[in-house]
Amino acid sequence: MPLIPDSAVFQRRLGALPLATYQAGENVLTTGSRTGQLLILKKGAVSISKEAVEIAKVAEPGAGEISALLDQPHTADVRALESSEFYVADAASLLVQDPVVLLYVSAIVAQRLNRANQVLIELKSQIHAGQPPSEIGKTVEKIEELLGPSGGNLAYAGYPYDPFA
Amino acid sequence: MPVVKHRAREVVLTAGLKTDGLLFLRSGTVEVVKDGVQIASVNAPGSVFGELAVLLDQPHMAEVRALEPSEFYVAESAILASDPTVAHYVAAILARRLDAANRWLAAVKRRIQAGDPPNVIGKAVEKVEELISYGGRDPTGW
Repeated sequence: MPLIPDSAVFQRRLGALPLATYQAGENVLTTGSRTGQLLILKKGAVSISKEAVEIAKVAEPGAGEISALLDQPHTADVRALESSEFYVADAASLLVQDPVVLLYVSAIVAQRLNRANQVLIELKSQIHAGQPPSEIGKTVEKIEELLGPSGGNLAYAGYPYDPFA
Repeated sequence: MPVVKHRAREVVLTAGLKTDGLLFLRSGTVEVVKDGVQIASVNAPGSVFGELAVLLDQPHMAEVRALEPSEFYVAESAILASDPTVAHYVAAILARRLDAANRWLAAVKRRIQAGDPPNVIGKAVEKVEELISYGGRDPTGW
């Protein structure tokens, strides 16, 4: 049996969680708030902004892709762009007690680190070859997409919550 | 967990090789080497190695070599599915790295925008690489 459960197992696990719906324009998470909830986008689209500047849009996840928004005191606002549904879980119990969810989230983070690592090789060779800043900047943006909130999988860089904070 | 010992200069993990296990540094100092270049020197107990290879089911990206006699706790990858405490510890480390790498990447961007010379940009890039490539430890949880 593979270590990482496939997304169907994960989806089934999520199916047992309560749902919360937000209307277009409604705030989902606010800067500085802390509810201890893990929000996983089921349907809809949200905008993530920092100091009133939008830094990412997260749309309905595709097959095997989960957008998880974690509420920790953080520096971003999340607002629904359209009517959006989230699975709501208590972050502490879901992440600490459920290895399936934890492994799945870990695998997503690991994939992003790995892909970023591959692009980083390209970045290093560009710097080494003395390519112009505009070219180097484009590669940095590619890495940013993988590491940052618009990574498309685990959406919000606010993960992880700090269980010890 | 069982403990393995490595002598100074011994290779602990070989880049390009697949092993099924996690290593947690118990004592000693190791270096992480990628393409012949040291990208990190690690002596913090609790630092994890091999976690990306296990989670991604792929060979190790970097070589880990003991710089002095070093001891590791060893666990099979299945522990991630059976022991929530270990799984959580590793997940927290991964997520912290993602977050830190992200912040260093922002520094890279600022340096490019400021027109800094390539060697200055390169230093910030090295920091991103270190964060992406090796496990580190959860400062709050060991």
